[in-house]
Amino acid sequence: MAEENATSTYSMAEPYDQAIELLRRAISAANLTITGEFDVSERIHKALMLCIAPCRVLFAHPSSGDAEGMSAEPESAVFTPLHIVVSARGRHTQVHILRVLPRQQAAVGDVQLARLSRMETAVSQAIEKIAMRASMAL
Amino acid sequence: MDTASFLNSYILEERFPKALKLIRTALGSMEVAVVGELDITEKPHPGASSLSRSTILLVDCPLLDLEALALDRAAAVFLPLHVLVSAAGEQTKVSVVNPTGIFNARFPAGSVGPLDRLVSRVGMALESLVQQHA
Repeated sequence: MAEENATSTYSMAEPYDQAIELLRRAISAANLTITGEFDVSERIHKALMLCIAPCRVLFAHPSSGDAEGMSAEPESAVFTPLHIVVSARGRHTQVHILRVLPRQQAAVGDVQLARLSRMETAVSQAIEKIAMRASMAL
Repeated sequence: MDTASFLNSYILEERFPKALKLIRTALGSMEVAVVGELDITEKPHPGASSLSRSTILLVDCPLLDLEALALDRAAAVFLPLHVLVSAAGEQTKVSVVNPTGIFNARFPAGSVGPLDRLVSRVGMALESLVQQHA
């Protein structure tokens, strides 16, 4: 059986800075909260004096409901909050998120998998309003 | 798939605040930095005498970040790494999950090695704390 990808990638026609703002608004409109951000490119630049294309991680969390009690379990804490990666790609932008795979390919419990899957669905639906899956993008 | 193969837990014989400081120092000695912290302490139940604190430390190593992201920025989906620190009375429990072990899937090109090494460094840092107390 061919392995499936662990992540999903979306393409946005907008340049990086504009794309991030659109993404923040889309995430907020989907009843999700961005609990923090991590600028990977800035981190690498400061630590190693190397420049890479802009890349930032947004940490997304449901605004209510599934957020409670989920993160305190180790198997959930590894992916909560969910990472939304925004990276510049020339004049356009790519967005990457975790792809929650079926039970047969996961080593977490059913309840945790279901919650993670719901969160991933909410995030991907928010992203799909402003971006296109990379496999379909020109 | 086997949960035990990717989940490592450590018990530190220190209360939560001191354990947190020791963890930061131990990680630093392995060139791993705490780049963020998320307090996920649950709301207390009515009648509860105290809060049981939990926090997720976001940890990374810039060199391993660079290596993981070199071929595919999607690797940042798994960076920084999450380390769960929870108060357990007079002790503190620390859990680290290797994301490459959660799903049987194809990870972004070139990311598995650096992710595994990051988890390994975190593990060595935490083991040094456990051994210090032993």
